[in-house]
Amino acid sequence: MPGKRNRARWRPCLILCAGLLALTLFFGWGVLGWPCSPTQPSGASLEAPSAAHWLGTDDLGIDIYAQLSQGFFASMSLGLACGVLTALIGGGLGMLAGYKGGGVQAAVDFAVNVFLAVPQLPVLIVLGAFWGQDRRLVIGLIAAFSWAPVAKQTAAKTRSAAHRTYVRAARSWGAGSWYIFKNHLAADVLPVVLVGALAVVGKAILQESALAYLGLSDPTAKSWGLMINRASRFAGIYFTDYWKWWLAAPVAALMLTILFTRLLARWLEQQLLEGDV
Amino acid sequence: MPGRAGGERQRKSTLARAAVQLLEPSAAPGGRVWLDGQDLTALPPKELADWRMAWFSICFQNSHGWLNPSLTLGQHLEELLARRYPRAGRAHRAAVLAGEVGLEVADLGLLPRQASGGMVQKTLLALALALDPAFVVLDEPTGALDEISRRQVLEVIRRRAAAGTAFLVVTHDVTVARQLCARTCVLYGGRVMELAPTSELLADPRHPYSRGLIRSFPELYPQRDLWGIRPGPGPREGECPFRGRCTQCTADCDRGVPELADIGPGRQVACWRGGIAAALTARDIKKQFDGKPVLTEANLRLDCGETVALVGPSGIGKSTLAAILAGFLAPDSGRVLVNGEPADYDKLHRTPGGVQLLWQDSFAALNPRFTVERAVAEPGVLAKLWSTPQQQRERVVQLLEQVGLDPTPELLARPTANLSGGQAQRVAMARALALNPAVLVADEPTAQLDASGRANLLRLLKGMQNAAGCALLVVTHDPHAARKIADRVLLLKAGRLEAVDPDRIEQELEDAQ
Repeated sequence: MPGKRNRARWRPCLILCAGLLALTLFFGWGVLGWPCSPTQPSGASLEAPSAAHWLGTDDLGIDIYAQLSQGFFASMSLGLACGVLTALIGGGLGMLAGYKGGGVQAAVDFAVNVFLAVPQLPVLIVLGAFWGQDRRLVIGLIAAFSWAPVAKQTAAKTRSAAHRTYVRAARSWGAGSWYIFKNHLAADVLPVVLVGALAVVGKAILQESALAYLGLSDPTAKSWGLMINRASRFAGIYFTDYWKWWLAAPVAALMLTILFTRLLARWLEQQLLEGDV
Repeated sequence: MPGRAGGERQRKSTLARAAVQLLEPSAAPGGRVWLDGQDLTALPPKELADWRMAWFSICFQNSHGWLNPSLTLGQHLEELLARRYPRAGRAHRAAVLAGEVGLEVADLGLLPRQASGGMVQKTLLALALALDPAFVVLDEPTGALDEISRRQVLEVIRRRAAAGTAFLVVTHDVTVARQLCARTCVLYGGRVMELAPTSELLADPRHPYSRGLIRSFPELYPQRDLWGIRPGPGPREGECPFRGRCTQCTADCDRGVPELADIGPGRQVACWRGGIAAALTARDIKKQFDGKPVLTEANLRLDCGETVALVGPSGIGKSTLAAILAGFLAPDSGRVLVNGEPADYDKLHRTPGGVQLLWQDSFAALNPRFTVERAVAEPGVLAKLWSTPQQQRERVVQLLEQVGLDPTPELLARPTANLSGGQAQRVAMARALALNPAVLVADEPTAQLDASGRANLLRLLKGMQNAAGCALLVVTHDPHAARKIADRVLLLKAGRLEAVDPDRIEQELEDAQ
């Protein structure tokens, strides 16, 4: 029964998308409908969760749910921006290298290998320490360290697709590069880029949080990493109950978000790339 | 002893009758006929009647109509013999003649309506030979005869010819020409297409019509599948009569009716292109991979409209040669000419009348995401052949029909990944035909198919080649397939090509291994 099998095939995707949607709605309410400000104190400090403050407040009396909500959109937009940038750089260079071959491919391969060989986090920390106070720079840095694997995979896929017989045949009939890309390569290559970029989304959120935790990100942005940083620096937090809402909430939000995006990326990878010749 | 061969209704009999001045005035014959320096057309009718049968004679195509129904066969003979022999010797002479052509003496007493077709034919022959003429026109002399009578009649003609009688044999049967005639003249549409010594004509016909005619005889090509010349529009006034069915027409052929021209000792052909033209010629092709020579000196000539099989054991370089000839691989050295010019494959691949390759693995050659229509239309779309989707659809439907697929909307919209092996190969073939190639190179077209699919596809490939009129080079390792569809078989051996007798392909293949 093809219908039944199809439904079974799509179920993981539906669950993951529903999860992401639920998170978005939940945090969307926190930004648009929630009366408390994410920057101004709205209660006493370190209040436990209640009807007025769903997730309690932090040491300055700022509502945690409101902070968390803003952090979600900050993290998500950062992750998506990194994903798009990676897709553009990695996908573009990969396709170029795989299609043109020769010198172009050698140059891209070299750059890919350089970026793969450089230890990411230390360099990110150093560079972040130098210029890291700007969000756009953080996005750029993360993207710069994420495009290489995508480019590598894209180039391999493009190369194999471009050597298929039907591409050679089309070229013999006078097909130009754009025609060949659009008609014969895109359907094979773009999923690779998409999967790579989606994987970067989760990774970028995590990396930004790590940078923020280290205090190397934009200190004014309400990022989850920054929240975790501040909570965990609160002296003796584990001897109190405060960690249950102040620390656990951003950690859980981070984990859930990354879990959903990574699983979605994995599912897409299985659907689009595996079972392919 | 010239013979003349031609298909039906090519005006052979008319010419024969004109030669002996027997055409009705309404036919308004023009031109002149000389016999021994004497212009027959200038003779007064009375003299002509005296000389007919005595100096020159004709044996008509078998028909009771030429005989008087109220006279016996013997009386016919005696009536003619009366012009030369005294009454006393006539009966004896008639009996001798009857014996010569294989008639029983008793048969001479029969009336034409009582006699069989064979007897009538023999009588007509005896009449033609009765007065020992110097020149005899024989119109289909063996048409109504069984094998034994046929041999007898041919023997008579041969004996008379050896004794000095000149024969003009009109026949559509090449085997008669082969057995009787020193020279053969091929007629088409009332015009001489080719004139040549018979053995040379049969071994190496130079006019596309002669070639097609000769290759249509299973007697001459017992192994090969039977394929006639492709049907097409008949002769038209003011142009080459074979034009509509010819596979090598160019713009040159618009110049009018070609004249008979010398192309070698004793050989003449009427063709604007000087006879059968080479579609593709390869000279001294060399190719090596990693220092190991694969092709050392491959030479090949592929004529317009013929099917040539390229055989050889696996891994000998057949596909390499096919790729070079089809323009997908550059040789280390050597030249490829297409239509007489150095091959510019960029252009040949992209324009109608060029060179196309039918790839070995048709699934790999079709984008699995393309629909059948899109796949078949791709070369035409890239060559900008069509200005509207309707034109494209019409042509795709036509191409699919040509390769034996039913062009339902469902099939047109089906992704090529969902085709069966045979269907995929057919779709690939339709695509290769989209640009009407002059040369089609098929690399192991049946490698992926089972026996039945293979048989179907080979027949289809040959039929398609026959109808489209392109030159076809089939690469195969299957000697039987080669024998069935190819006009000629070439063996790739030690980097060279050599012609192989179709009967000996297996042995040659074993030797080559």
